[in-house]
Amino acid sequence: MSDERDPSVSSLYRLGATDEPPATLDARILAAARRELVAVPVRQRPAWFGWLAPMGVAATVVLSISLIVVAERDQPDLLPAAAPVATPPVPAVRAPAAQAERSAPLPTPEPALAKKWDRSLVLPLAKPTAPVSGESRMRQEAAPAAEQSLRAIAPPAPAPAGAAAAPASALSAARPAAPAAKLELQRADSALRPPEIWLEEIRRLKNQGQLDALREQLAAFRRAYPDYPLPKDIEAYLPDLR
Amino acid sequence: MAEAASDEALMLAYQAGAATAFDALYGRWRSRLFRYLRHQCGDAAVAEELYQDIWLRVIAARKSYEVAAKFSTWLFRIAHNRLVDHWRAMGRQAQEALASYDDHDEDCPNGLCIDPAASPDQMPERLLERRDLAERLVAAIGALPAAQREVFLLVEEGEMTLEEIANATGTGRETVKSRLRYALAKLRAELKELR
Repeated sequence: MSDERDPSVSSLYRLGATDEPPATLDARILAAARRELVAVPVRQRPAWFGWLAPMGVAATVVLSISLIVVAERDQPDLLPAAAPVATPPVPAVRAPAAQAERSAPLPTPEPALAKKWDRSLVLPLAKPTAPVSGESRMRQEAAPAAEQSLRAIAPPAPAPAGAAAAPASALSAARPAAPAAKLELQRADSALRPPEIWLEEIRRLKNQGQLDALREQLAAFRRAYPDYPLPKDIEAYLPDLR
Repeated sequence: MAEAASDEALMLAYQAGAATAFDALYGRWRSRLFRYLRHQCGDAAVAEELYQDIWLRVIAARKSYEVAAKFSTWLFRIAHNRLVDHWRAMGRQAQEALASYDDHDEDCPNGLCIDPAASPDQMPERLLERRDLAERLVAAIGALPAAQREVFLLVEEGEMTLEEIANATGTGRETVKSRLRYALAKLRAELKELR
């Protein structure tokens, strides 16, 4: 209560101020108050209401994981089917710039040995002779680019002018020692990757200590390129075919 | 049980769904609020309209009500704001009423100011007719500037302190104190003339 209040004025005011709201107005307001309770009841939230959102998130996570597990169990080929897309491409598909970068520190083949190898074998054999798979097609499309990069890093091999333009069938026929099956294998292998790239892969296997894979690849390389000179550090791993 | 509860507890009970709590709360403040409006407006019909509107605002604010101040302070703040809106909507009369809210301590409109320090002892010792005097007093209250009248009514009807009035009307405590002193001085002067 205010200390400034004047008791005499207050008592007179109380005596004179007798206004009251009409009863109809009272009834109207009280009815409105009750209607408000009916229209908008304020409900007390139960104790578990606070857990509703976290439980919803947890249920969503569990349901999602369950769906993935069930789908993987019922159709196991679904996820592996997507694997080739995610795996890095084979070395032959790599971009020329990356190949050039990785090929740069490699020791270049000795000029004398490179001269002995007929480079004209690479390009004609890269042409497909039969319907190939998608992966093989990708490798074939990348082969010209790889060959171009090889020309940039390898010393130019003095090849006869006529041999470079000669068709692959003619060159293959000029090699009487190679049987037909071996020739087909050679075509398939050489279509995959050029010899310099392949040797680089083989050298990497050697550096990683994967000797079995090294020998396997080296044997395949030799089958594909029987005349290509092997570097000395790799040649030592090819005892059987020498 | 409901009568023993505070105004704020009753409002919270109404918020929780107790209709009887609102009945008790309404019974406590219906006459006070109506008289505040009746003297501030001067027009009974307008006072009733504002009165209903204010209570409907209280009802509508039920869900969001929080005890941040006394219920009476909250109620009369709503009433004050509604009155200001009403005066603004009235136009010319509103300008006069609102202008009184800009009065400062130095204001002394209509030459009715007397010395605020005048002692209550100067009040007439004997009144010929107390009731007649009370009616004259009510008329004098109606003649007060709106801001001074409001402070007087909030003290009498709202039983509010100077701080609560300042909070409800959005003014400073010293301004409220000054308005009240001027209002009381004018009313005493009016009563003195009736002797």
